[in-house]
Amino acid sequence: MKWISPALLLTPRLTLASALGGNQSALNPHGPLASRISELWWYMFAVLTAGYVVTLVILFWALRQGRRGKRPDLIKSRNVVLIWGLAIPGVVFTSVLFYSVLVGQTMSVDPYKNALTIHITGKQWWWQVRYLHGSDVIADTANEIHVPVGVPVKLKLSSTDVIHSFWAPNLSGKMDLIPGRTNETWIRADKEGVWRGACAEFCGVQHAHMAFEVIAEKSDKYYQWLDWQRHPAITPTTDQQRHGLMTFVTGPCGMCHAVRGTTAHGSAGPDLTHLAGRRTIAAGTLPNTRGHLGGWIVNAQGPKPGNYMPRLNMEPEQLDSLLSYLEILK
Amino acid sequence: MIGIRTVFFRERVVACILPVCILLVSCNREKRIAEVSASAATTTTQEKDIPLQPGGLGAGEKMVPPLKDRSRNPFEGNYDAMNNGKRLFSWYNCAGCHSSGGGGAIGPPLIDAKWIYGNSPGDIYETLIKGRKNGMPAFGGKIPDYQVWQLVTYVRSLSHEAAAPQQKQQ
Repeated sequence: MKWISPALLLTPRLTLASALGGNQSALNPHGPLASRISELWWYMFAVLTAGYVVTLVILFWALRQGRRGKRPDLIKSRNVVLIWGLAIPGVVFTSVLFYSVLVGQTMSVDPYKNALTIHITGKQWWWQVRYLHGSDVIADTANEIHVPVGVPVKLKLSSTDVIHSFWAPNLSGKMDLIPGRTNETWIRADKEGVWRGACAEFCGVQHAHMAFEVIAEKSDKYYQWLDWQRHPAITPTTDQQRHGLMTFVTGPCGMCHAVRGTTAHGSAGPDLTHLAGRRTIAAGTLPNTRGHLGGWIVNAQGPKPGNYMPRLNMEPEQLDSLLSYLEILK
Repeated sequence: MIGIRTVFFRERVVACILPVCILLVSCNREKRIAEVSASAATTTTQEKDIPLQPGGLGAGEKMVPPLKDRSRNPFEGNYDAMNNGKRLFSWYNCAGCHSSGGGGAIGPPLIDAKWIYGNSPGDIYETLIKGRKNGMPAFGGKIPDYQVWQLVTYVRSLSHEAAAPQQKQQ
C-alpha cells in the first residue's frame, strides 16, 4: 500500500490526542457543565463498548459451535434469552437515557441569579459580544469573549438574522441563538486559557468560518481588559495614521463599522474601536496581523466567499495608511 | 401477451425517472452572484488602472457592471440582488429617511409612481452616487458599485418598476 503516506497513518492518533487535550474538545472539560457532558460521554462509551464486545464474543462463540454441529447448551432455556437478550440490555441501555436526561436537566438550571452577564448576538457570520452596565454598553467586541477564571458567567444569547448555536465544547454544551428570543446559558472556566468555540447550527454559506474564542484570564487581568474597552479609540499621532482615520470615516469602512470616538457609527459589521487587541479577524478565520488585515480589506471574498464584507478597491498608499491607523486601535 | 408484471415494470421506471426530472428542473434557478469582480467593487466613479486584487476574474465571476455603461442595471430583475438590496437598505440607513419598506417619512416615498429625479436605473444610480438637493446624501466613494446597483434593483422593485423580472439570468 504505497499510496498511504505516513502522515495519514498518524492522523487517527493525532485526532485522538487533540480530542483528549485540545482547546476545542468536549473530552477536555474545564467547566462544570462540560464536565457533566464529558462524564456522560465516557459512561455511554463504556456501556456501548461493553455491549458491542459482549455481542461479538457471543456471536463468534455461536458460529464456532454451529460449525461443529452442536446446538449451544446455553440457548436451551427460554429464560436465558429473556434475561440476557432483553432484561439486562434493557436496563443497561435505558440507564443511558435516564443519565442523559439528568445531565440535560442540570444544564437547564440557572444557579446564579446575579452573575456577570455577557450579551452575545449571532450574525451572519460573526459573534457580537457586548458587556452592559444597566443599558450602557461598556464593551463591544467581536468573536472574543473575555471571562474571569473560576467565576460563573451568564450568557444571554440572541440573533438578528437566522438561528445560530453557541458551542464552546471545553466549557459547556450547545445553546441556540434564535431571532426574536433570548436564550440563556452559563459557563465557568476553571482554568486559564483560550478555549475555542464555533457555531453549531448551519446558518448559511460561511457557517464553517464562524468561530470564536473564550479567553479565560485572572480576575485582575480581566478587569484591566474590561476597563480598557470602555475607552474610546486611541487618537492618531502621525500624519499617516491621521490619513488612515480620514480614509476610514470618509470611505466605505464607516458605512458598516463603528470606531467609538470618531464619526464612524456603522452598525452592520463588528465594532472596531479596539480591533488591534483582538487575536483573530473574520470570526477566527485569520490571525490578526497587518498582512492578513490588508488582504482581508481588499479581498474579503477570497478567504470567506459570500460574507457581507465587500471587496474594496483602494490605492496602495491609502491601504497602507488605513492599516497603520487600524494597528494603533489597541 | 403483456403480463401484469411488464405493466408494473414500466410504471416503476416512470416512477423512478420522474422525480429525477423534477429535481433536474428545479436545479435551473437563477444563480446568485456571490463573487463580484474587482472592477465592480470600485468605490469611486473614476476608473482604476491597477486593481489591488490579485489575479483576474476567478471561476464563476462576472464583470458587473461595465464601467462605461451606467444606464443599464446589470442586476435588473435579479431576486438575489433585490434581497441584498433590501438588506443594504436597512444597513446603510436608507430606511432612516424613506422608512423601512420605502413608505417615506423625511424622505419621499419610494413605493409610489412619483419620481422627482427619474425612475430609470441610471437615474436612481445617479441619485445614490451624487446625492440630490434637499437632503439626499451622496454615497459615491462609500459604497462599492455593485452594491449601488443592488440598491437600485431593490428600490425599483418597491414600486413594481421591475415587476417583470428578466428570465435570462446567467
